[in-house]
Amino acid sequence: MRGALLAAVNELPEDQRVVIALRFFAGLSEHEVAEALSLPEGTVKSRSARALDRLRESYD
Amino acid sequence: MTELERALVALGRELDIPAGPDLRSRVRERIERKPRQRRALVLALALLVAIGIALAVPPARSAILRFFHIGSVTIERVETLPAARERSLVAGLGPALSLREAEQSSGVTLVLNAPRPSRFYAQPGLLATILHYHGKSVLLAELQGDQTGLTKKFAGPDTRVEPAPIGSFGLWLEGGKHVLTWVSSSGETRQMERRLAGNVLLWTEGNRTYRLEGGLNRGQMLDLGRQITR
Repeated sequence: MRGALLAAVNELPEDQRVVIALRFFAGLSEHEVAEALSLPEGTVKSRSARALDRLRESYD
Repeated sequence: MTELERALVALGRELDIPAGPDLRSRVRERIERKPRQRRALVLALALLVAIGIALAVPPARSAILRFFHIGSVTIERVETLPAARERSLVAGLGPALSLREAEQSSGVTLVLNAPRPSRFYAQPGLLATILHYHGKSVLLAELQGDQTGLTKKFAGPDTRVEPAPIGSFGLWLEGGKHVLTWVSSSGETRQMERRLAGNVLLWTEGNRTYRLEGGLNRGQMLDLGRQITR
């Protein structure tokens, strides 16, 4: 399962992968990710949601 | 937090991300700095994470092609190398030019805080020259911008890839055989020059990617790299 999830993260589009990595691997909040990437918080939320949707398909 | 999100957090703990547990505090510290520095931070973080992901997958188990970007360079790890042969360090880079001609042709202004050679090579967005250090010839290539696709490297399973302490983010590639591919014309996928590459130090600084290749060891290459951009 770990390998499948890792592969799925690796296959995400780069903009989504970075958000997922910063949020869940680096432990940043959405606000902090937005600050770090100089993006609106809404953009971070939408990228995160799209990425999680894609990952869910692999995880479930 | 959903089950998937918890699984991602658990996965993050298992990954061998070079920055380790200090990553979050480093991010917070740097967020307070100037906005211009954030871009370099973002690139560095993305690369750290990408490398963490790449290194976390044992080669024997990897059916996945693993790749990551550092500035203008894409590194792709594959299980079987494409056909290539030993060639000159400047193979595929075009004719030797003066510095002025090369800068005009490439659109890249040389950064080199060391004695300047007389022969340079240019491709759109790429300026290169040969340096001599510790009796060895070393190819210096400077790539402007963060576009990907100008240069690709395919590392076989025996090639070691590890972070290197230089610039905003650095990588050291050593051992085994890896293939360097120079795209012969920007913006088009045309005939490429493939050759086997030596030890390589890659790093980013500002909006530029630096690449050193040659027979130097890691310490020598880092010394040379730091001299170039000091």
